[in-house]
Amino acid sequence: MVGSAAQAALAVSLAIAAAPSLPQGFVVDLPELDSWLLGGELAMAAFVVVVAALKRRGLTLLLGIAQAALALIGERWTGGVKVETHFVVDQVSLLLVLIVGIVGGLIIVYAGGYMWTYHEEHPGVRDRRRLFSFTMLSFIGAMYGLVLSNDLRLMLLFWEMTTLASFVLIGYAGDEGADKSAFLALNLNLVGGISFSIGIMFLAARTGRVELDALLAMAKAPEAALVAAPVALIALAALVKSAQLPFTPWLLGAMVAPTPVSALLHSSTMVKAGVFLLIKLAPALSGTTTGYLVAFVGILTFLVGAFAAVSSRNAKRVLALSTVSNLGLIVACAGIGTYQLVWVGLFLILFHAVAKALLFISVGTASVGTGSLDIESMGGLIVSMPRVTLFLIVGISCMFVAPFGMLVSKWAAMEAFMNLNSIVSPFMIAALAFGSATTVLFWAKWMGTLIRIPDPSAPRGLLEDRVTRYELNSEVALMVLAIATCVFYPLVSKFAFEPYLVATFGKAFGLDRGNMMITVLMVVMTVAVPTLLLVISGNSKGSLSSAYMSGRVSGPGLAFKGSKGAELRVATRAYYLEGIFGEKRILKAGIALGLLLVLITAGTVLI
Amino acid sequence: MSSIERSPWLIHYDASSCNGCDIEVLACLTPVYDAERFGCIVTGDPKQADIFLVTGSVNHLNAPIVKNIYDQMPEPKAVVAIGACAYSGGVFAECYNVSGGVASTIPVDVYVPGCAAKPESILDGVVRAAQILKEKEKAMRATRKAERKGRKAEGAQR
Amino acid sequence: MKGIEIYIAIAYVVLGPLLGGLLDGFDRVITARLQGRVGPPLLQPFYDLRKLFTRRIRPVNRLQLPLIASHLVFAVLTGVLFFYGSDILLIIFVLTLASIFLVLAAYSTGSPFSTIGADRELLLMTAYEPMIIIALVALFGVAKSFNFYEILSSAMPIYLYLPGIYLGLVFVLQMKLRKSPFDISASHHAHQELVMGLTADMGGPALGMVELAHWYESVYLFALVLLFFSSSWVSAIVGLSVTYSLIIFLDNVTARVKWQRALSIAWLVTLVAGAGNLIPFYLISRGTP
Ligand code: SF4
Repeated sequence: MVGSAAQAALAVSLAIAAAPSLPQGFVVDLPELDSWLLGGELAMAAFVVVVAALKRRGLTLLLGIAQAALALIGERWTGGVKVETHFVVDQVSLLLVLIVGIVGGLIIVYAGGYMWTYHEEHPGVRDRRRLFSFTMLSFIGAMYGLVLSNDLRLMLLFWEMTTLASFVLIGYAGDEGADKSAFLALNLNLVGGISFSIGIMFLAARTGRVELDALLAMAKAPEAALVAAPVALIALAALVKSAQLPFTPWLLGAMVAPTPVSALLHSSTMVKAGVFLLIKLAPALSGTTTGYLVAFVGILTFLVGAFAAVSSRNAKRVLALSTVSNLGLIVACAGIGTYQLVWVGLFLILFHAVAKALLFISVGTASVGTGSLDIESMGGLIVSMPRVTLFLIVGISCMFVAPFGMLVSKWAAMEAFMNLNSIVSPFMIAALAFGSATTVLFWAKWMGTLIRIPDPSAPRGLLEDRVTRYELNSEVALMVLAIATCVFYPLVSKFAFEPYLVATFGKAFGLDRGNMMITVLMVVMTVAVPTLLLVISGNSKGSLSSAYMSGRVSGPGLAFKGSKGAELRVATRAYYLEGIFGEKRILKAGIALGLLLVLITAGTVLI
Repeated sequence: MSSIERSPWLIHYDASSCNGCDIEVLACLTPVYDAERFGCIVTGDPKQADIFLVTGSVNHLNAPIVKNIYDQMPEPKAVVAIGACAYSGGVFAECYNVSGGVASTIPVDVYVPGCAAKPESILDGVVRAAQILKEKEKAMRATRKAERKGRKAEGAQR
Repeated sequence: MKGIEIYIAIAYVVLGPLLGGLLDGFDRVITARLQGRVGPPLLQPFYDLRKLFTRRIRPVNRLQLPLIASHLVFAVLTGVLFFYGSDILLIIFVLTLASIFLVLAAYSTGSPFSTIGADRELLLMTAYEPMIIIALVALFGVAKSFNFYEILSSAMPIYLYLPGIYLGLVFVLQMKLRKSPFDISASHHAHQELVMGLTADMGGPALGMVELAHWYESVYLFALVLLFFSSSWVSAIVGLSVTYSLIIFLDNVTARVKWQRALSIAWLVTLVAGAGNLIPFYLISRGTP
C-alpha cells in the first residue's frame, strides 16, 4: 500500500518536474554500464533456464539459452558503443509514466482488498502475497524504466523484466492451468525479446548506434535502408508484447491470473509497452512496407478481437478480447504512422488504460459477489450490487458510447484514415466501420444485462457486503479519472500531444476545437441528463406495473404459474451469435492470417 | 373530436370460444371493413391499448389472464364483449369449467350481439366504446381537477 | 450559408415532428391504398401521438421512463447538431447513443418480449452502422466536407458518383425506419411473434416519446438521403420521392426476414454495394485531387 502510494507520488512529481522543458535527455555516467547490462541479461536468462529446468519445459529452456547466447554474442557489437543519452523524458513517455503510476498504483491498492477475498475463496492456492506485491511493484518499476529508456539496450533489459514479472504473476495460482498460461506467455515474449535483441545487434553492427532517437533520425535520412531490418525486428517484438495476432493467445491465457494481475497487464503495463514502442517507432514505420504490414496486423487484430468478443459469455474474456481489439487499432495507427494517427493512438492508449483498469477491477468485485464470471449471472446486478454496476456502466460507456474517449478516438481515426489519400484508406475505414459496429453490439448487450430489473421491489445491494473498502476506493478513483479524461482531453491534446507531434513530425494535429467542445459538452450531457431525469422521476413514488407476460400473472422475478399450477420462471439471455461470431473459429482464422502477415514481414527483413 | 375517439387502439383476446367471433374480429382488418379508417390499430399489447375486445366465454383457467390484460391497460379503458359467448357464456354456458360471460371477471362497456357477431356490428361496437372512452376521459379529468383543488385547499389550510 | 444554421436547427426542433409525422401519415395512407383499403386520415399519426400523451401509465420500473426520455433528448440533439452543421460523422455516433438509451430502457424491464426486442435492435444497429459510416465517408470523399450544408451546396450529382452507396443506404434505412423486411425488433403492425418487441412494455407517454423520437430521426435520415440529390431542385424532389416510395414499396412487398439473416444480409450488401463502390471511387478520385 505504502509502496504504491510512494511510486504514484514519484510518477506525479516526475511529471511536474519534467513538464516545463520537454524533451529532456539524461546520461547515466557509469563506466561499467555495459557489464551491468550484460550481467542483467544473463541473470534473467539464468532465471528462465532454472525455472524451465525445474518445470521440465524444453522449449522455454532452449529460449532461455538462446537469450543468454545472444546476450554474449551481441556484446561484440553492442558493447562499447557510444551512447549520448540513456534516458529521454518526452510527453509520450511522461504520459505512460503517469498512466503506469496512477492506474497501476490504484490497481495495487485494489489488490490489497481483493487478494484477501481471493485467498479466502481459493483455499488451495498457497498464500504468497508478499511475492505478489513485490512482483507487482517491480513490474511497475520496470515499466518506468522501459518508457523512459532511450538506449535500446536498457530498454531491452526492462522489456525482459516485464516479461519475467508477468510470468510470475500469471502463474500465481500455481496449478496446472496457471502454469500452462504462464509458460505460454513466457515463451512468446521470449521470442519477442530475442527478436528485439537481434534488432539491436543489427542496428549496432550497421550503424554503430543503439539509441532510439538516433534510430528514428536515421529512418528519415538517406540511410533509411540500413535501419529497415532493425525497425522490423523491434516492431515484431512490440507486436508480441501487445498481443497482436498471431501472438494473441498469451494474453487470453493470462486471464487465469487473479483479477489485479489482469487489470495491470491489460491497462497500464505489459501490452501498453508494446504499443508504446510502436507509437514511438511510428515515424520510422510510416510509409514503409513494414509499417503497412504492421498496420494490417493491427487492423486484423482489431476486427478479430471485436468479432470474437460477441460470442463470449465470460466477462474477463470479453474484456481481454476487447483489449486485444483496441490494441489492434493502436497498432494500426502506429503502423500507418501519420501525425494524425499518432495523435489518435496516443489518446487510445490513455482512454483505454483508465477505462479498462476500471472495468477489470469492477468485474473482479462483481464476480466475488455473484460467484461467477459469466455475464449472464450479472443479470440484475443493478439491484444486487448498485455501486459496482455504476462503475461497470461508466467503464463500458467509456469503451463504446459516443462522446466518451474511445469513440472520440475512433472517430478521429476515421477522419485521419480519410486524409491519408492512399489506397489502404478505404480498407481501413471499412474495417473500422465493421469493427466499431460490432463493438457496440457486445458492450451494449452486456450493459443491458446489468440493468435488467426482474423485480423492482427487491432489496438493494444484497451482494455488496463483501466488497472491501480498498476495492471501492480505487474503483471510485478510477471512475472519476475515466470521466475526467473524457472531459479534459482537449487540454491533454493541447499541452502534451500537440507539442510532441510538432517535435516529432513538424506538424500538429488536434481535432477541430468546435468539435472537441461538442464532445465535451456531450460527455457532460450524457452524464447529466439521465441522472437528472432519474432524480426527477425518483420523487414520484407512483405504483409500478408488472411486465407484459402474454397476460400471465407474474410475481417477483417474473415467476408465473404454468398451466398445471407449477411455478415457472422466465429466463432471458442475450444473443451470443455463436453461428456468426463463433469465437474459436474466428480466432483460429485470425491467427492463421496474422501468422501469414508476420511471415511476410520476416521475409521482407531477410530480403 | 377528442383524441381518444380518433385513435382507439385495440387489444383482442379470444377466450373460451368456438373461434367464430375471433375470425370475424380479424375480418374487420381486411380491406372490406378496414378498421384503420377509424384510426384503430390492433396492438396485441395491453400497455398500448385503449379498448379490450373479448370474444368467447370466460373459464377458470383464462379468467386471471383476462383480468391481467385488463389491469395492464392504461387508464381510461373500455371493454367490448363480442358475441353470445362473451355475453353469457353462450353455448358453453353450462360447461363445468365456464364461469360465464366477460362481465363475470371484468366490467364490460359494450356488448356486440351475434353468433358469430358480424364485422359491421363489431366496428359499431368499437366506435361506441370510443365514445364511452371519451366520456370516461372527461370524468377522469374532472376528478383529477377536483383532486388537485382539494390538495391545494389542504395546502392552504396548513 | 453562414449564420442561418442556428435558425434551421431551431426550426428543426419545432417543425421536425410536424414533418416526421406527415411522412408517417403519408406512409400509412399509401400503404392502405396499396392494400386496397381506404386507410386512416393523413393526420392520424398526430391524433395517435396526442392520445398517447393523455394516457396514464404505470412504468415497469423506475429506470424505464428516464431512459426513454433520454432517448428522446439525444434523438433531438442528434438532429440539432446535424442541422447546426456539425461533423456528420460525429453525429452518427450520437445517433447510436440515442438508440442505446432506448435499448437499455427495454432491457431494464427484464420482460421476455422487451429483452428479445432489445437484442434484435442491437443486432440491427450492428447491421446498419457500417453502411451508414461508409456512406458518410464516401460523401466526404466527393464533397470534401463533413458539414451538411457544405455537402448540400457542393451541388454535385452525388448519386452518379455513389450509386452503390445510395442503394446500400436505402437498404439499411429499412432497418432504421423499422420497415419490413427488417421490422424484427419492433413493429407498428400487430400479430408479430414479439408482440411489440422493443416497445412491448411501453405505453401511453412512454410510447409517445419513442414515436416522437422516431419522427425526429426520420427527418434527418431523409436529409441524409437528400445529400445524394442536391445538385438541383428537380433531382432533389425526384430523388427524395423515389426513395420514399421505394421504402414504402419494399415494406409492403417483402416478408420479415429471420433475425439470424438480417445481419449477414446487411453486411453483405454493405460490402458489395458500399465498400464495392468506395474502393473504385477512391482509385479514380486519387488521380484528380
Ligand atoms: S358467440 Fe357463437 S361464434 Fe362467437 S364464439 Fe361464441 S359460439 Fe362462436
